[in-house]
Amino acid sequence: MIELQNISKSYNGKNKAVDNLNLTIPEGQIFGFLGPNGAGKTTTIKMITGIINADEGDVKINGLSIKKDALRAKMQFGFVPDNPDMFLKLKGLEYLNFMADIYDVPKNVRKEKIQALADRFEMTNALGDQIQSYSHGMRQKIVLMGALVHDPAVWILDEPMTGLDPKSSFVLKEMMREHADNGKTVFFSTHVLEVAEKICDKVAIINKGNILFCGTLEEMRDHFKSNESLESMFLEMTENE
Amino acid sequence: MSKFFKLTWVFLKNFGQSSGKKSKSKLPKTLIFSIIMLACFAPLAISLGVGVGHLYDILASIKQPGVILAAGFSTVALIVFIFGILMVINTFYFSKDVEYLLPLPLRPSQIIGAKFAVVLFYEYLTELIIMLPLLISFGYKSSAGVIYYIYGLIVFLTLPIIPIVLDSFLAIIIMRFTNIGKHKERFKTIGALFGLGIGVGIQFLNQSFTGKHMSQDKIIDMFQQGNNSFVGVVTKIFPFSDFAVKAMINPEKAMGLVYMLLFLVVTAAFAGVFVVLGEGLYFKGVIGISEAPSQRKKLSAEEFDKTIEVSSSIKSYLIKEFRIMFRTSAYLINCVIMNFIWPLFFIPVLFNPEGFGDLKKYTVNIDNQAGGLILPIAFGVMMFIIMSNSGAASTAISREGENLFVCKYIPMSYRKQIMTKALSGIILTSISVVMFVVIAAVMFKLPITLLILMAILGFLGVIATSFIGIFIDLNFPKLHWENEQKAVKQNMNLMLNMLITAAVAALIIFIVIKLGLGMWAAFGMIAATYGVISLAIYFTISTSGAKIFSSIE
Repeated sequence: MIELQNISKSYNGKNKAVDNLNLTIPEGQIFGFLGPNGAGKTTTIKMITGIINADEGDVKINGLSIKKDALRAKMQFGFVPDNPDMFLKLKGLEYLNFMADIYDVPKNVRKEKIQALADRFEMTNALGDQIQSYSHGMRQKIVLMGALVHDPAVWILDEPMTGLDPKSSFVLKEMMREHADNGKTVFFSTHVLEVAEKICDKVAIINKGNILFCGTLEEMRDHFKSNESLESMFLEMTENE
Repeated sequence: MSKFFKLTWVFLKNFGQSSGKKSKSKLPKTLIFSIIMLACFAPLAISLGVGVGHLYDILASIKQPGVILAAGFSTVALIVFIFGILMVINTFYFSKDVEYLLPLPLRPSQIIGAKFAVVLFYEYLTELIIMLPLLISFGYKSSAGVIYYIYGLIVFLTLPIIPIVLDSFLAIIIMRFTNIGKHKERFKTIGALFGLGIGVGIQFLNQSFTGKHMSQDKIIDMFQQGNNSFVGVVTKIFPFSDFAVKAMINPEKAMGLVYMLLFLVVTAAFAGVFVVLGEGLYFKGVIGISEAPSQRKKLSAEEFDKTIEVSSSIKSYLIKEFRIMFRTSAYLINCVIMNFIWPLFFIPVLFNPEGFGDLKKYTVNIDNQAGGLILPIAFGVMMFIIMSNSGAASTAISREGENLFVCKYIPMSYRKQIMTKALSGIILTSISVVMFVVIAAVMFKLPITLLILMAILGFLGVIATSFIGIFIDLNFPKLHWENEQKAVKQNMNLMLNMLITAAVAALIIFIVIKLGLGMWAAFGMIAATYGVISLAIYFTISTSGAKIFSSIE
């Protein structure tokens, strides 16, 4: 579970990127985080993961505060950033092992986990090569594997489908479903409304740093009293702002 | 041509902005940084100016004042040439923007020309420190007129061109013939080092050649002739600057104008050859530069098992730092390799036994008093080597670049991460200390006690320097760069660390020698000073360092 409590963040002391945001991402559900470009999605995710400090408010991950109990809170989640161009000089397996060391994963567990993930994402033959030689999609996959190697309870994924081929994208969606069905938390941001429409149990729509809507898709349809697609509801909501 | 100017403009704009985002809260820090840099360079520039003034009086009395300009121009040209090699290779070939530029409808000479302009601009900054005090002081002393200063400005702007063109020739040719096969990065690193070797080698050869062909009598003879006859000899180091010097010492005469024009024509000719060569060979060297080797084959069970060995988070983090430093050519060259190759500079000394024959006699029986002198001097030499090689620590945060956010979300405390980064620098620079002590043991046959004391002081120096370096980098990280070169080479933090470290070391060595301490007292004083400095910065980094790290966004 992730709880955002009255978090705010402003840049240059005046432009509020995120304004007094409250949000609870429950366990056992896939939670989609939607919004137009520059709405505050990535800023929010950065505050959840401890990459930037919130000016006000706090974030709790499985009850642990990212401000007061940072290290234990960070152990709770696996994070996939929106840009996978990192650790390019390391070989795939070296990177995964680095992450496993950082998250204290025992040897036999990491071995099984890495092999299983590599199989699933068809990365077995690439693990011995430097990440620099990977395509964008492969980089996305290796970062994803690194985030999941310690089997975190909470998944935080920033635009995880970008660059993935249809098969890998399908596998990821399948894994997200399994994880949520096991009573764990999946929180991901996306621009792609079709993806959100298909797999999310719940969505939150953010624009200009404020949450416009939070609930299930049915609730959203009720709200609009129509049978419209998510796209038209989304457009209507964000343009009326 | 307009495309060339547009491109240059874009490059230069990026160049300036990469030093960091400007926001209100950052301003005081930027100000402090500028003040520190100014405080460090101002004495250097002022003392250079004053020194030139004194030298002018002496040389003017024997009618050889032109030697000052000759020596100054040659030195500047040499510095630009040597420091330029790696910068040219990195800017022309290793910069990330190459990938965005290749698909654009631009001629090779337009891209390489604009990149050349960026290097030139950067070299102007280097030039400022030496050339400005030199030109002003010389002009003041010789009560020069307006034309002298106009010539001065022209020379200032054009002097670095030929050395950079020479660097570019080396770079273009090396990259043309190393851009082959797999393992390009490794190949290029070797190529870059090779280029550096050639460059430095040519200069040494040139100098010793000049030296051998000048007998002492001839030198005295030429000095006595007066009339700036010695200028030609000094400019042999960089012959092209000869014309510029001759123009500057005769600014009011027609001859001066002729020399000025000659200098400009030669410079333009070099630039022209550069454009032609760039047009012909640049793309052949740069296309495919970012390809990385890959096998795409399944690892064997043993390989797999070996790689997934469990380590503590600190060890794993340290290994990660080393892997990245060793596998990135810019980091390898700037932070690692120098630790291993500086003893090569001692080779000429080793092959010149005359100089050391006498010295060895004295080192057989070293008493406490002699030890008290040798120890601080050895410490001074070590500190010089240490601070020159402190790049690993003083760029540790900057090297993370845009990926700094990864350090923020992994469950490892900031204190631990900073200390591990410092440790990577401490380990690398310690290699230099070990080598220094071994060289001292072999070459001078120093007594073992003295060697041990030297080693201890060396390690304390390494620790303090690394801590100071990482503390500076924490405060002024350079995170917005598009090629790794910028994170390490064009990073003022390294320079700042060197200046601070040099000042502290010079002060303590001066005090120790002045007090005439014995070996043990000298050791005690230096060790205590550096111990206290290291501990103080350690605690500062542990507390406020972690806070600063957390606030970097």
